[in-house]
Amino acid sequence: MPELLNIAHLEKSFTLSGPFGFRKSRVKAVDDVSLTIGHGETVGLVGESGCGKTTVGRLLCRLIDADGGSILFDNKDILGIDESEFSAMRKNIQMIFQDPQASLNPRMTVGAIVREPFVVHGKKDTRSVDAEVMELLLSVGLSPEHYNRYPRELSGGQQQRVGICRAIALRPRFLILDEPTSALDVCVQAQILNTLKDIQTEMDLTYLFISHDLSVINHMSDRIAVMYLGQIVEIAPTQELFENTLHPYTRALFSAIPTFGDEPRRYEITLFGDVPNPAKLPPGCRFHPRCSERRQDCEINAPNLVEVSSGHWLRCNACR
Amino acid sequence: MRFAIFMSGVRKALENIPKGSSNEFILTVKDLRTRFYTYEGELDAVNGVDLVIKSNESVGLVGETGCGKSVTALSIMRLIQYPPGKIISGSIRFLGEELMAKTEEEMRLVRGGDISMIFQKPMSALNPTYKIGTQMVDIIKLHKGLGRKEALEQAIHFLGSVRISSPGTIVNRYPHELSGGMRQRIMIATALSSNPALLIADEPTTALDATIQKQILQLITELRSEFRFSMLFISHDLRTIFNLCDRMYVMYAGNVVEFGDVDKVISDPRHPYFGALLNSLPRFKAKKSRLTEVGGAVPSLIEPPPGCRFHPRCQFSLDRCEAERPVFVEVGEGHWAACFRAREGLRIA
Repeated sequence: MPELLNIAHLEKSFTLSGPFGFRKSRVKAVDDVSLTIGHGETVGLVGESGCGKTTVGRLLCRLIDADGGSILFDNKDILGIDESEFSAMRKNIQMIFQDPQASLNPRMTVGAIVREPFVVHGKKDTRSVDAEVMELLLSVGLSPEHYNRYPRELSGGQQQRVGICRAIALRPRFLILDEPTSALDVCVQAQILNTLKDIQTEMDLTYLFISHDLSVINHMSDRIAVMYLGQIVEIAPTQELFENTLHPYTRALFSAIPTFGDEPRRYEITLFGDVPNPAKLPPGCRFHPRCSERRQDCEINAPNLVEVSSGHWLRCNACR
Repeated sequence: MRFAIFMSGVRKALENIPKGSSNEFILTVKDLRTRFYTYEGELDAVNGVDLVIKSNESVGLVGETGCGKSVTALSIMRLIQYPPGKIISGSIRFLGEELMAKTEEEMRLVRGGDISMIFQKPMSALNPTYKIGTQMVDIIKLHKGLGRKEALEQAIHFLGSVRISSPGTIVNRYPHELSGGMRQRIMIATALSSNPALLIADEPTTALDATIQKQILQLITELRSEFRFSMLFISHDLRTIFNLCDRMYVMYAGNVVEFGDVDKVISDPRHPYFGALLNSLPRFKAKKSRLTEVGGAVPSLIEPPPGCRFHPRCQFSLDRCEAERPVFVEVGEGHWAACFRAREGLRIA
């Protein structure tokens, strides 16, 4: 599988300020994230809230600027180029957001929302654009009658379809899906996930699928990356990750999901305590205060991401 | 007439559950109907719901957004605000007393007393301007008639029993200083402080992360064996219900459509809606490349479809489904489904 995206040592930190702007502290939201995504592949990014998975997504389409590292898209560095150069490339990288209602402008009709990307990227011929918009609406399971509706008149599932429609309007090559079904009911979730799989085959798309729901990640992804406090702790092909879970955090995450009686359950671990404050990270391995496998050196030595078997990467001192 | 048949079905269901001291019903809801008056029209968000909870039992209530599961819980607590909503008929018997006949003053002692409730968003259920201790003391004083000092001791005691490590300092904190998991623990401690017979939990873990969710669910399980309260657990997450509850009720568009033991209902769903819902879940075992979709969308409750409310989306519907509302039929021991074809064992393709 040829490589489409190569992310290396990506860094991003935010400055938090206390009362009246004093007592500033820095939060490393993304710390040394490296990941490659192959052409046509779906990579799942999973982790708890605040682990930095959404920040990674936003960095990839340069909604925010990275502090360090590199992102090669089709062997072209997209962090080194300036905004005007990148805007021509942005049509290749699009994003779908979690809250469909908040991501659509309430004062624009569905037609205007889907037409917007064409306008931004300089397609002025209204008639041919309108025809294309109609075709797009049909391809995501909406009908031409939705063209003149406002987002508030649509259900959550239909709103998310408009979001998908807008993202695929300019025939992108790479889509970042940031929890696209978390706000939806199970039946609607099934419809949206099927639509996403259909357009992936039809349009030859590559996905980064961000979610906290392991059953959805498992259904959608070819490979899964697990994040904890800004770092990737484990990457493996989906089946390998579920059958040969190595990192104690991944094991805890897997054992935290409720399962039906006929579904396999390998580990029974309950993590104690909360996720530490990202502004005051524990020294050494970030997971050690909550880890069941911790050794003495975990408090001092921060582990690196190492390939333990073909395609299976792990950041842990104890479980190799 | 139709209604009479429906009720006789339910009555039979109630009689068939073996009686005994441990099987006493602490809550019996009959034909509960809650109507909302909106600009678009009137709608029955709860359309004749029957539900029982035995003592020391954990009952799940599942369904999609807008199916009426939260309104059912709020109706049991008589917390429906008028306008826009009103309980228009039904009976709610709790510990031998009729809650519908109680005055607002009497209900205040039941709420947070014998019935406690915990909510999805602990932050909006706690008052941000008062310390944790102050909020808990108020409630304990009201329900136990204790003085301030004893009430504070009780508050600290209950914070300890929800495994908060330093309860003495937590009582002096404000809600915003605590994490989501901690706030939910405080809600549970407050709910338990009156020693309730019934705890209503409305999606208590939906806003929490997976690992914290597991801690809270484990805590609830432990506390149930310690304090021996019954529970009505509302959730849209079928896997959580499966792990936490003894029996479950499935709701669709204001109606209960299927109920029974969790194991039986999940392994052998008999109402086409619940079968389809289970089928549309991504599975860990027997992974499919495409999920099975349920065609169509949830109907408007202002003009619900006649007969069975699921019939326009049902792949097994008959002419009869459009004309009459199906009655509950028993498909297994204690397992009932409101579908004309429930006994046929239909499987979704």
